[in-house]
Amino acid sequence: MDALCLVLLSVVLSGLTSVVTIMFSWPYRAPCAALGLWLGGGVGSLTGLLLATCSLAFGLGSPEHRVLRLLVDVVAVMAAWAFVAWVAKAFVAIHRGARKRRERHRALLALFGESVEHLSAVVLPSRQLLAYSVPGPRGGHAVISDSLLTEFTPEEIASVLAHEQAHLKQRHHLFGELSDALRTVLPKRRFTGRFAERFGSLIEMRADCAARTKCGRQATARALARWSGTREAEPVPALDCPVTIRRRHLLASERCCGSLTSQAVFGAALLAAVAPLALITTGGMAAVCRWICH
Amino acid sequence: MLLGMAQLGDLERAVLGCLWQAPGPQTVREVQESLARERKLAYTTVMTTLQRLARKGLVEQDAQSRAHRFSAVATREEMFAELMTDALGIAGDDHQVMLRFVDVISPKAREVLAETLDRREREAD
Repeated sequence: MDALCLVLLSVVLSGLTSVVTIMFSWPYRAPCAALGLWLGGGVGSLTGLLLATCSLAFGLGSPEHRVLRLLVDVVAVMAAWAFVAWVAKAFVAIHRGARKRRERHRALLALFGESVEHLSAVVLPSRQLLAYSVPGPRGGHAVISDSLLTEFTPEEIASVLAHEQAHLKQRHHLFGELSDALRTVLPKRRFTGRFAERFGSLIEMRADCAARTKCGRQATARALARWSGTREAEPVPALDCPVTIRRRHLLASERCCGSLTSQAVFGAALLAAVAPLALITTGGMAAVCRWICH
Repeated sequence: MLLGMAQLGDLERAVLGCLWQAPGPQTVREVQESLARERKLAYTTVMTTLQRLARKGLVEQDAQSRAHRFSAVATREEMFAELMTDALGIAGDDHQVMLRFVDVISPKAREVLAETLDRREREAD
């Protein structure tokens, strides 16, 4: 079996799952599954790369393999690891910068914000409607402005806070930083812009799912509507702004990510994650390699 | 988790408030004396709080003088403006946030904003 084949499989897995998640509209109907598919592709890619390295290190190549020789394998594996290292370096730089900014922000929050124990949130004195989360030690902080407390109903406030706490608990900031790292490393094309945009929307929808589980979908959708300043009871179908898409997703189904599409995508995510290992153990990879070589 | 932050912020606010009101850099003793009217604090508590504020970048320490003098790095208004700008950035959806911002500011502030935007546009041309 050939290291180059495994590297190619890694590229195909990460590329295909990204394209399928970004270029089509179905992820808006199954955001958790879409994120799962993208993560599954990532896990599959890294497994493929690790197996390619093992294959190279322990000489697992098939004896009849003649066309793609050792040098090509070494170059392919090294190039793939160099790309991973480049992304990791960008991620670490972005993470450090963000952590420093957050530390400063927490210091300012401690000065101007008021902790409200029963809400488990910090309230900022502002006429602006604000709701966000600041990750940090001991779980971080959900922050809202006092104008939100006066303008929103208790159910809507609970839903906004559940949304922000979901960001903190599920460490969404790390996903955002990973997305930024990929955007830094990849060429500045339309695709990378769409990738970051889609990734951000899916993460928001994932947090909406947590809020709807805790506070109900009607309260969460109402909070979103109030947030966007709309008076429409139902989201306008023609509008494709992020908040409208999120409201549509909340109101469309009873359960979050419980549709048949979601189940199928979760299955595909699992397959993508175990594909390299499964292909090797079943001998499928060797057959694919022989087919490519001959 | 959030209660801890409130207690910490309370003392820091008081110490920083004292530095904001002072005409110039203050020694630990001066800060302690200023705060003595409201609360009785040990010298070491004030010192630790000032050092913590310095580590957070809210206070700067003048190491040149023999008695360490502390001053706030910015005015209260400047720090609050920094917090709000940062908050608007983190909260995302800058477009909508800015539109709402225009809705809530006073007519006078709106006028100043419009003038500034006009001036920037003319400078860009």
